[in-house]
Amino acid sequence: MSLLARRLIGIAVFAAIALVIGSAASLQWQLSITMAVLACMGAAALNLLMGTAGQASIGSAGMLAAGAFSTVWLTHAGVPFPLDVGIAATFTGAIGLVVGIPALRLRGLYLALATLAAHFVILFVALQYQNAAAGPEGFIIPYVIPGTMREAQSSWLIIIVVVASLTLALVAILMDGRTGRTWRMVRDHEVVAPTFGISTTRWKLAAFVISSVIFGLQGSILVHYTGALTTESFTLAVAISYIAMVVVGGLDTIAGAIVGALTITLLPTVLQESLRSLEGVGVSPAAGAHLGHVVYGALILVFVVFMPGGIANAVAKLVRTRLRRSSSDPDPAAGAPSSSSTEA
Amino acid sequence: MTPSFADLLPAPDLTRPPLVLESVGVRFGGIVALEGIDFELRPHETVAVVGQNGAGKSTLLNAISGLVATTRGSRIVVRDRAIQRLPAWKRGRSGLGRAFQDPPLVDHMTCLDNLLVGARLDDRDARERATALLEVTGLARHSGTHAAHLPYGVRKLVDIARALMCVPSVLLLDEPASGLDESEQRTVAELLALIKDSRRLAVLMVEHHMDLVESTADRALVLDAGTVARVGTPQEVLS
Amino acid sequence: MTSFIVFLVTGLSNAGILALIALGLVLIMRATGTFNFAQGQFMLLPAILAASLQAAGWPFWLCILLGTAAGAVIAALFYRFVLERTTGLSQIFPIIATLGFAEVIDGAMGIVFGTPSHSLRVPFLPTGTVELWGARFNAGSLTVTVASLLFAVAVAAVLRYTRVGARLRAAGQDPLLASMGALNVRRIFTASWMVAAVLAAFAGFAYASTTVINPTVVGVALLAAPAIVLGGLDSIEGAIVGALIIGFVQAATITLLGGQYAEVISYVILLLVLQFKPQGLFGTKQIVRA
Repeated sequence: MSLLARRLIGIAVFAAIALVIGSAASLQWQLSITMAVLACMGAAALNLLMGTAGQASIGSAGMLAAGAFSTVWLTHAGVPFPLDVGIAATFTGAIGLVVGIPALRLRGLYLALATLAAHFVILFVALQYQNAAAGPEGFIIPYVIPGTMREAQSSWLIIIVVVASLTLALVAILMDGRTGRTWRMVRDHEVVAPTFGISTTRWKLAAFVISSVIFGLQGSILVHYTGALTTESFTLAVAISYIAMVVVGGLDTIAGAIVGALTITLLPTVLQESLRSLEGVGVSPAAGAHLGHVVYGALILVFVVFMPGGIANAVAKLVRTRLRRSSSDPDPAAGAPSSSSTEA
Repeated sequence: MTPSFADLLPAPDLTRPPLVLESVGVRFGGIVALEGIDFELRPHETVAVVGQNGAGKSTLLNAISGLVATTRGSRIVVRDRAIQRLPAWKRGRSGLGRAFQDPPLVDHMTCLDNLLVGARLDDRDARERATALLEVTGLARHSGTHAAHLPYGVRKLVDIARALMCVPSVLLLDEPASGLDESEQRTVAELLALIKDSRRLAVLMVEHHMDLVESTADRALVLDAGTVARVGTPQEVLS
Repeated sequence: MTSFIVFLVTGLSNAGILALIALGLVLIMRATGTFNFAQGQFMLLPAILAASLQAAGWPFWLCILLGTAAGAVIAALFYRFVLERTTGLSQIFPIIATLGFAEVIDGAMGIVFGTPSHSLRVPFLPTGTVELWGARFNAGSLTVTVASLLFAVAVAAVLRYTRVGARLRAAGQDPLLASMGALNVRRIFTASWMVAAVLAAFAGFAYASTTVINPTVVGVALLAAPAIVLGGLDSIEGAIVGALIIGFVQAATITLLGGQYAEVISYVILLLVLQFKPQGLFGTKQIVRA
């Protein structure tokens, strides 16, 4: 069975498990699970951009914000759900185009710097909008799914699992075939890739725009799901947490996106639980947020040094080494992307 | 059914020179790497570019591929099409196949997938072509192996096979025999002989191994400090 | 005239701090080819540490020394134990590593020091006010401004014109060549990171002695990014010039448009530079190519 087929089946299984566990869980846990599944979208997008195409971006929070705030604007302008989601995602893709075009002709670092700049610019515009239209508390948006909290939550779980699964499937398809092969060539041998007819700028741009669209989609759904929005939710730390998802989960894989998203999103909940038991010892809740930062950062550093391919690739490598009798095992699960110098 | 090697190559074309270089120059800041290179590749011939280290041999290939910029007044013509102003990726589609000294393969992709990278966009039979090339070059058993697990000699062959995927009219090879042991060098020599005997494809190769040059090249182009020092048969030039 | 003088002095004081941070970034860029996204934390940590120790009663010089040492040590540790391990990996890893490092320091500082603001009291600074052309300035702040600028220019001159500076530059440009010239490349890279951390520490001290310092200060340090993109990522002169320009742009924006625009305008400048002159004013073309 091809890798793509295995991945698509894996996504379907993941969706089924998420629905089953989600429906049976308490409301509190359902919330966490839904948010974790939602994060899988961004994790997959960033995984494609950083893992497959090899481009570093710190713009995740900015793109989420772009999707979210444009959705609010569209809703206030009378655009119905789900049309506003589609427009918001496209708009975020356009932002990706504007930010990417100057930066992607240049070496990889410049995209990181451009996305840093874009983060501040986008958040600035969002803040101006927020101050003008809503005040410091941020926006409250009418719910689009009718019913009680519990009923709406169940509906949202289904919607988000379906949308996330479709997104994961799309990313899996993109990681496969000619698109995947070309991005990997750009990632590993950017200088010489053009000799194979590859316009590295266009391909990098495509990856960046696609990932921006997905983040925009996620941000848009997030707003409708939570019903509230404020710029304070979109910090650089959020962008770095998505990078953590990709590094911890595993670059250039779908499994990595899922593993990373679940780990990093559910980490604060786990930390909070363990802190709560320590609270008697005098640990403040504010320290919990700081502890979260230390843990994200430390995870990134540990994985960069010891397991740059992330969990998914380490597991795949283990499985492959066990199974490999002859050299013709058709299981091209990816490992840690590497750079390579070429006599050019 | 093993396809013949000729099936994988372009149709013969004796009407025009596959590659013409006129006044080709390359400068890096103040340093002149190449200057006034005039050369015309004859249809289907194999030419070796030889010279000391630093003479500009790899730079010449990179200039043709478009990986380094050429000076004003340089002219590079591939089958009647002047390509010196085209960006590298457009040259990659105009009939130039390229292999490198250190084969730039994607380690975490299979041999087959690495070959597919070299296929033309409109190639409907890319997978068959890649499989056939692997068979013809004796690499069929490595088809599903990750490039990371391949020995260096095999990687060099895969790189050359990949260069052939776009059915080029000119094959640019950068030191195809470097870093190889005796038997691997023989395999490369056999492959190059196969290409040469097919009379379908011109080859421009940078090479240090003089036995390979003597056995395979029709002519040799000697570079010295960035300029053409001599052109002639390998025997003439090596005396 | 008064407002012009205010503008001038504000611009120069911004520039002084940015220049120190920017020089550090350029040093690191030239050595290990990385943009240190944790440079803001290198500015914050020594300053907060020094201020906290001073508040606890420790003598000023000891606080400064410990703060600087802390910054230099963690910079060296980061280079040796994390960054060095990323050679051979995809180019995204050094970027990811510095981001993770920034997070760790941020979180650690939050846990140890909490989030209240701190400030540093420099005992030998002149007190009172100074009047220049009708504008009044705090004598201490003015001194710090002048001192940071002079220090930045002095460091730039050392890097540019001395043998030590030449070695630092050579090691970065071609590690292979440099190692053949019997330069211990590893030691030079570590030194570059430590010097960058020291420069950032002084920027932090300068900031903490004139205003308050708290975690949001990292945003100030990040403004060095537009400064060095404008100046040229690998240019020492560019760091100074870029810092001056951004410093004055900040000052101008605050007076003319209002404080909240200052940050975003600098980042728009960054994007414009990328579009129209990616190597910046003084950077080499090579720094820009893939």
